[in-house]
Amino acid sequence: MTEELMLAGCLKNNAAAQEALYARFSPRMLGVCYRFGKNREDAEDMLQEGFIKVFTQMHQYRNEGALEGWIRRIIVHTCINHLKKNKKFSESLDIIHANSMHINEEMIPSIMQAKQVVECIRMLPLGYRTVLNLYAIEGFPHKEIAAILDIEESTSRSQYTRAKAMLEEILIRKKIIQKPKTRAGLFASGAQG
Amino acid sequence: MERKFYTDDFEQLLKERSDEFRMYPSKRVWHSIYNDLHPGRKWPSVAVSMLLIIALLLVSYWNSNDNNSSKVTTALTTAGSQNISIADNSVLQKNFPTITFNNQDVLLNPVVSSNKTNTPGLQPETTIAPQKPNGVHNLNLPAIPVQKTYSKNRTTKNNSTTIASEYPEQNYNSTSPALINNALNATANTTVDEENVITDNSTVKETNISIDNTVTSTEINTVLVKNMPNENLTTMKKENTPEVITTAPPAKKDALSAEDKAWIEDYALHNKAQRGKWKDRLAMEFYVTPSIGYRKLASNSTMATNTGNYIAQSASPSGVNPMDHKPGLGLEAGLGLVYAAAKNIRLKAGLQANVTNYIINADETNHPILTTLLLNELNTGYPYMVSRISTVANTSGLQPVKLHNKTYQVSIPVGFALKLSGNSKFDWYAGATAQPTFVIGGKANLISADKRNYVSDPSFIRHWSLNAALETYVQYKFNGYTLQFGPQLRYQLVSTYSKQFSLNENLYNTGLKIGVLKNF
Repeated sequence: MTEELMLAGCLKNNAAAQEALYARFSPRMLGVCYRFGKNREDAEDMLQEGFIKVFTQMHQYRNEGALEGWIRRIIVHTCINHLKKNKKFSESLDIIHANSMHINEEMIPSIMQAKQVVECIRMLPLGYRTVLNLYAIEGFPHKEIAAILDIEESTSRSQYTRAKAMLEEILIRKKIIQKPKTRAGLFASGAQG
Repeated sequence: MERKFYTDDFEQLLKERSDEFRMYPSKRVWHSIYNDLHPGRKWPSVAVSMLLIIALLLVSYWNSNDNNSSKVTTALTTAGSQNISIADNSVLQKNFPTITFNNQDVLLNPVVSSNKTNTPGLQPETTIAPQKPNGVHNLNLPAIPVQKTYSKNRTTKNNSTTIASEYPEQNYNSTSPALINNALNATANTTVDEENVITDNSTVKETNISIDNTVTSTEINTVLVKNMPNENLTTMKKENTPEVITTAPPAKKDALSAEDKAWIEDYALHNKAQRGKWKDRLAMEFYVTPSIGYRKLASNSTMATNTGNYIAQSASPSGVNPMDHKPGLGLEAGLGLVYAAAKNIRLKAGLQANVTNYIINADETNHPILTTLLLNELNTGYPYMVSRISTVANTSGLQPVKLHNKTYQVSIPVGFALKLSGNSKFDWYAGATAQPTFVIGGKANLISADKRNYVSDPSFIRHWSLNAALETYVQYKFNGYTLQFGPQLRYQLVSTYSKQFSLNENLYNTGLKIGVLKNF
């Protein structure tokens, strides 16, 4: 089924079109949710909530960008809203709290390729992980992240810097990446809102 | 990959790797989404589920029937009375005279049946009764087959147990399910010599009970055959020779059960009831309906038949203005529950407060006037007059005054709404409610019998009433809430006043409903 047919069907609340659209995009979107959620079940709840929004708000899609991007944006916002319902989420945005996080060797999973990276991201404290997901992967500027998460823009930047450093440490320990020759190299592509 | 991480595109690489990552959601997610989007379409899955369950039951039934309908079983079934009751295992182990078989044929067929391949005179399979729970077991012999193999050339020692000396009438009693259970699993090797003299070397496989102190069907069969006259055995051999047993072994039944179990588990996993699903269908509704109220007046029908002339005489006296009534502002406000019974049907019930109102334009009198109200004697049906004092006249020339006929009501609207059309954001509904109503109080300005005056007497207001409402509205889903907006007509089906009063007054209100719904 082509994307146009799926769209037209979804606008008519056609179940077959909805299922086709879901089948096409759900694996990647669940990957997105998994990066934000605390476990698979949590991610599936986010996915369910997100796709219901996608289908109910389909008429708002203006064909101005890629459909996947539009769906992804809804899913990401759903994930954030889902996280916001949890009290621990706001606590996790506290830098001091997150800074005390220690990474044990046994925490690092033995995984491969894309899943390897995702699992390493998921090891980060919730606040770090959320900012890193939004900035580095979803491409939100720090200003927007600050607005979404109700934090200062500077907090978002520092959260990201620390998240990145921690992720690098994890990746180095896991021998996914090599230790940089100079510390400056590590942050060469640092937070740019 | 390792090298890439320390180039300047950390984020880029992170994004690429993350984007490659995919996970496949469980079916539960789609089912939940589907049910949420199409609440009214659950019935096909329910119907299909029911069909599957029925099909499974039928297959199971036919499967068990197949076992029962093997040729040995058929022969047994047609043989007549064949009940065997097992009363006591110990009796079986030590003392077998209690074992009785009611029908000779019943015994013959299961005990020894023909098998062309192995033994010309004996069948490899026989049947024993099915396993039953504790207690006295009434067994129907043909129920479950037990596979037996006969070795033609082997002669084994005879089992020392003797069931009965006279086999035509034996009662077989035991309370031990284990015995039957073992018998189900038993594979007996029985040897038949050339002269059809049977000796037995029964062995039981996969059993927890020693064969030495347990009587199995094989033993029973063997003893029975042993005790059988030779001529009977010969006859039996002839009768049973052409029959071929194709009954499935118990193991096959177990395999089917496992398959069914796996299917059921899988089905249960993907069709498990959603937690709090009713909450998805139930919503709290709050609404306000500012309305314009008016009334419809008519003569009290029961009274009019008896007093036609009387009213006619007093109805239109000369010099009297026709009653000058105007619509007034009313209000309805309510709280209710709305249940999505199907995709297009919403059921609703709640509590509603109503204020009805219409205006009477009249004139004040300079002094109180004695006037009369025409009433109906409920017991006899005859009219009568009561005197009242009035300060409001329906005649012109005095100080104008506006009176309000009001009622304050509480009602319980119960009804439904039907979705006429809609999309993901907007829906158009039409609905109706019946509203049993309690009238708390109000103002009642009653016209006098001669139509010249108004008499204020709220005691004539009926306390219990019934209203009906029709409505149509558009609803808009907004940020988790559903807003409703549309016209409503509410009509009072019974008169505002008690049956005693000479006029019937039916109120009606036309309003604009503004509501908000929130799911639980």
